[in-house]
Amino acid sequence: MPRDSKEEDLISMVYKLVLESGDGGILQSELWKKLSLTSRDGSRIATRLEKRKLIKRDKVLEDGRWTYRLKPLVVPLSIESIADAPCITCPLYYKCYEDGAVSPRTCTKIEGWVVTEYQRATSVSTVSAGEINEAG
Amino acid sequence: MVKLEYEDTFVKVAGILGDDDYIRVARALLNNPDATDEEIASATGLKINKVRKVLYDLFERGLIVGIKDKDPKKGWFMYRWKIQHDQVEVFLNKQRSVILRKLRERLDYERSHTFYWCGTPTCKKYIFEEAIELFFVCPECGNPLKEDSNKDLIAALEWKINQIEQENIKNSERKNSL
Repeated sequence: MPRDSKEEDLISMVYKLVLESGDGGILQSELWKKLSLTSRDGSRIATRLEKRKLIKRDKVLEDGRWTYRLKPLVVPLSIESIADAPCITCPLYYKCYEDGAVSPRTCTKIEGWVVTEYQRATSVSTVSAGEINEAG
Repeated sequence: MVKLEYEDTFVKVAGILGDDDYIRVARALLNNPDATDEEIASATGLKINKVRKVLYDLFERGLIVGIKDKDPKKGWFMYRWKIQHDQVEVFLNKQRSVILRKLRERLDYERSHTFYWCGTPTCKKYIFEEAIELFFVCPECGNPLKEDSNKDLIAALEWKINQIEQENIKNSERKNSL
C-alpha cells in the first residue's frame, strides 16, 4: 500500500528531532510527547527510521520502565545550495564548456537560477532586518 | 523543489533529479533494499513503466545497481535494485565541483567584459567587441545597444559560489560530528 505524504512528514519530523538531540539521543517517550503521538504510531515511525538505517534504538531502563533511546546514525548531507541548479538535469550537460556551442559564459539558465536565488535570499534578509527595526 | 531537509541524502538527490515520483521510488528503495520493479510499483502505487524509467535514470547515474535474479515461481529473470550509498556522495561532490567551475568561469567572464544591450528581454547581450562590429545597433530588434550594468549578476554569482563553498565546509563538519 502506498504510504501518504503525512506519514513521510512525520518520519522527517521525528528524524529532525533525533538529529537535534545529538550524540546523547532522545528517549522515545519524550519524542512522542513532543509530537503528540501515540506510542503505537511512534514506534512504527521509529522502526521505519531504523530500517532505513538513519537511527538506532538502544533499549534502556528509565524510571523502572524499559524504553528506547533513539540516536542518529547518519547525518544527511545538505544539498540546498545546488538543489535547483539547472546544470544537473540539463540535456546539454556534456556539450557545455568554455568555448563550446553551449557555454556557462552565456547560459541564460545559470543566470536565471543564480539571480533568482540571490534576490530571494536578499529580500528575506531585508524583510527580517525590517521586522527587527519595527520591533525595536 | 519539495522540502527534503530531514531525509536520507539519497532521497534528497532523487528529489533534485526528478519529480515527486523520483522521491517515492527512492523512499521505497530505502524501505525495502533489494526490491524488484514490481515490489516498488506496489509500494508506491506508481505504474510499472514509470518506476522503470526512474530506476534506469538512477542506474545510469550510478546511484543504484541492479542484481539479476531468477523468479523462483515464474522462472523468468528480474532485477533486484540496491542503493549505492557510497556513490551518492561521490555524485554530489562531482555535481558540486562542476557547478562551481561553471559559476567561476561565468564570474571571470562577467568581470572582464563590458556588456551592451537594447533592453528587449528576448534579445541577447553583446560584449564590446561584438557591439562595435554591429555599430551599436541590435541586429534582432534594431534598437540602439547601450551599456548594461552586470553589477547585480556579479554579486549574485559571488554569493552563490560562497554559499556552495560554505555548504561544503558544513557537510564535512557534520560528517565528522558522528
